[in-house]
Amino acid sequence: MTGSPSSLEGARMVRAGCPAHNCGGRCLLRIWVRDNTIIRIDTDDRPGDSLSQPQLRACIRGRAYRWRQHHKDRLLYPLKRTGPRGEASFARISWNEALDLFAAELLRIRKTFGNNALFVPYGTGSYNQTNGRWTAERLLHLFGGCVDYYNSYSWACISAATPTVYGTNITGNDRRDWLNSKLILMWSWNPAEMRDGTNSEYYIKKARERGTRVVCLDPRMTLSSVALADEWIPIRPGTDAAMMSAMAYVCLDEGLIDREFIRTHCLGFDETQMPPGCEGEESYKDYILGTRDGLPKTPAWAEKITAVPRATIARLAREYATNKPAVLYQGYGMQRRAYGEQPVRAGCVLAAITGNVGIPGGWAGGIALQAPHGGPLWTVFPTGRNPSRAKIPSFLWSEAVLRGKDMGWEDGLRGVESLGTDIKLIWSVASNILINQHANVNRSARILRDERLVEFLVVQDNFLTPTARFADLVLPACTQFETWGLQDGWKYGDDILLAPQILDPPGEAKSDYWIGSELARRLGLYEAYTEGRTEKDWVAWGLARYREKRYPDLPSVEELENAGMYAVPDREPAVAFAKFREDPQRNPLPTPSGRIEIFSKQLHNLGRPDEIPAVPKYIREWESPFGPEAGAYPLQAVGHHALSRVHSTHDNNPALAEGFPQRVFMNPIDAGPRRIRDGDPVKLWNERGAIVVRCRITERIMPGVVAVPQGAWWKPDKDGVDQGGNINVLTSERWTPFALGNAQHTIMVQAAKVKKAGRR
Amino acid sequence: MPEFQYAFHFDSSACSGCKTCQLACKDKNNLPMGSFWRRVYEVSGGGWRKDGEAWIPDIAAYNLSISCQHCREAPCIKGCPSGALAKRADGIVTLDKAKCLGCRYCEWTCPYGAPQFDPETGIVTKCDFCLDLIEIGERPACVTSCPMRALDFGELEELKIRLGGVGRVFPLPPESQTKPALLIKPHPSSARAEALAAATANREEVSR
Repeated sequence: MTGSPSSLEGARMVRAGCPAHNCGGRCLLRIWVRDNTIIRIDTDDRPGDSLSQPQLRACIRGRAYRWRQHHKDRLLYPLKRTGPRGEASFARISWNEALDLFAAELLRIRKTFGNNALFVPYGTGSYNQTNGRWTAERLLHLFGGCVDYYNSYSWACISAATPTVYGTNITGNDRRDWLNSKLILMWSWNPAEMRDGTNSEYYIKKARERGTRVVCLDPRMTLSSVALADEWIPIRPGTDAAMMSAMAYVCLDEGLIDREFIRTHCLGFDETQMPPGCEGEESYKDYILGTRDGLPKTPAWAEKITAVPRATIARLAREYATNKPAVLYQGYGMQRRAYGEQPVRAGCVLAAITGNVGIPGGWAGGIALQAPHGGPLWTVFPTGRNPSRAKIPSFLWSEAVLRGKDMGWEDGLRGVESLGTDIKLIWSVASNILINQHANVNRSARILRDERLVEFLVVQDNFLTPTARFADLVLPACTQFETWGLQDGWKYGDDILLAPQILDPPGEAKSDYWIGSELARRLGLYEAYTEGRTEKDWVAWGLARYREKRYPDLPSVEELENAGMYAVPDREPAVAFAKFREDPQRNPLPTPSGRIEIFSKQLHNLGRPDEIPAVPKYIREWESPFGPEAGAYPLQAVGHHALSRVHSTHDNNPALAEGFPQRVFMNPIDAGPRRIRDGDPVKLWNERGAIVVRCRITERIMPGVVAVPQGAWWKPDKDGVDQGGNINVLTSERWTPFALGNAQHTIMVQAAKVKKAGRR
Repeated sequence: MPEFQYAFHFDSSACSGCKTCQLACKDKNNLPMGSFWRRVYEVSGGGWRKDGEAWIPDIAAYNLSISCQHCREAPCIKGCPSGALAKRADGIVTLDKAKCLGCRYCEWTCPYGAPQFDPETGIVTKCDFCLDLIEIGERPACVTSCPMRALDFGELEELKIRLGGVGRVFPLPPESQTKPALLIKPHPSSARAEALAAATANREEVSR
């Protein structure tokens, strides 16, 4: 009977890492299994739960996992397309047929177009060693190579821009050092919803208990803002660099900058410290004071752009500059935007000119991989050398489909001068990028429907995702509970979690590694691919790498099977750049100048000052409330991360959809004139497409901005209007100038009430 | 009134509204979709004003994680015609499913929305404080789930001493009505909630 605690009689309990889908958490589950079925999931129960060894408590997504694991829609058999691409008409075939067909297509495409016609796209649906896309990449590398990618859909701008300031991405103090801060600015940072590291929100709570003041800057009054912040400052999306510039103005104007630190550790702040060859160029001080452009970046200037009151900007600047040590934590939402490089650099510069770099309780800013070694070891399963050496930015895969032959350095092509071909075969493993998560879904669908472009598309997944619906061949893959895996703590690198196989897969579902191995067998590469190892052997192999590289006391697989995890021993919280701070001559940064590059000669030399300035600037976005496009499309739309999913994983999980139904969040000031009421179905549209989604009227979003949680599965009706609420129908495929990253949050839309809609 | 009274403690000031407790409860107690022994209410209200080009919010927003309050004067017990509801010596209010007629009087009398009618089975179910867990020395599923460590439990008077808290936060009913076994550390913005005409904003996420 429902409404009774499940009896655990006859069940075995397994401690295991929560399946990693690239949320920011890495948590421990206790899973009760009986008759190959999960009957209950709870979480880390290690005694103590102290600040130095906090429990890794799973969020709602981990706790709701059995509804995903035992979902009626699991893919059970290989499927071959029988109708036009994208119509999802399939026939069941055997694994032998499927693998023979796939092997034949690989050989045909390689022979006709060469290895650079093969591609395994970005995708993080499965993320631990022998699970996920790495298995495919390993095989294609052994097969003579393929096009690889660099950067990501998460961090493109922040990972490219941070090193232009510091020469490295290892810019973060240990999270426990937040307890030493007097002030934390959570800028576009929402750890409670995205789980930016298990326990990040808990560390902030602990810091507040010690008196740290926390201010959250975000267009949404996020879950983090409610639970973690003393103050919420709503800021118009895409204008963060304007506010940061105005804060720098106040610091400069009121003498709140750390002149000595700037003199000894920075480059390009003013005319006295310009790099050789750039003596006459615009310094950061020139930009802030408006010496060259006649536009002082005052709080009054920024108020018009950011919608933040000038007095608030000035007060926050004073608070930040005078409450040292302070943290300005830059989240990732503000860098998935048109000029996402700028707020990254501007935030780093604020940290530098206020002297918050290299001190306990301070924070250098940027991507903040953890000192001293950069955080996790990530996937160590070897994908091997790519003989082709070709790499493209992850976001530009559709360009390589349309005009791969013509791509060059300016399109981000690296490793080769030319691909010599367009991409013709895509093997999408645990990835819903192609249709659902890439920008401009209707465009992606048009590209993939054209069988003259991508000639063979294989999708390997747990469910018939919107991407899988476009496949020529669908391969049913195991979930992470049905295979062996190993993971360490996402960005922050705490603790190592084992993910043992605890269930037999349903139907004919197979592991990604099995699929890779059997395909390798058909290509004569079986021995080279497997090296004689099972998945569990590879986990042991991975543990050995972790042991060699960092954790000499890491136990064996067998020992880990009891605990499910290895807790990294207590250590002093590391402070990034402490040695540089102490003696910048002896311990220079890995930048060209050895200093913090407020002015980057490297960027200056690119010769594109309007889009890639040498000092961080506010640049009006290509779709903005200040441009002519705001006439037809007056609302900014952001696709934030929500607890209903991890990206597009879990979209079909009824327990999560119940707790966090897909909604467009809209301020009453925007809803009123449109006669939209709470719960109404609303159509959102722009030139790229239209979606229908029910509305939540809330004061917790600023006027002029709507938010639609990213990752909802695309469900076009017969008119092509998406009834699933997928914001990527509205997003733009245009990429950022320097990082060549996605700018999916930079879009304008219009909204209206509709009479009919499919209820989700 | 029993001398010993089990109670929950809830730190509303630290609750993000992530609903992990709500789901942990659902998973542990095998609740169907639409049934919520623990509910996380989002309370919000207020408004915006424009000052020149700036937008200025005046908003109260916080969360209340609410289960059965195991009230000291539980109206559900009084209202139950079949005697299915009873209070144990440790203060926990239990519901005997075998006796439940499905008349739903308890649902109407409870001001906290705790009793959950299941149309499939035709009876009511509700939070039993994870009796099966506390009887073996463990803690309720919701308490051990919270990523923010915002939930705790214990004997009411002991909890009061250890963690303090109040018995009522807007818009919950007056404490005197049922004497709930709940202590809350209020969110700072709850003080202004009533003045800002705040209300439950997420009813669809916590009810059928």
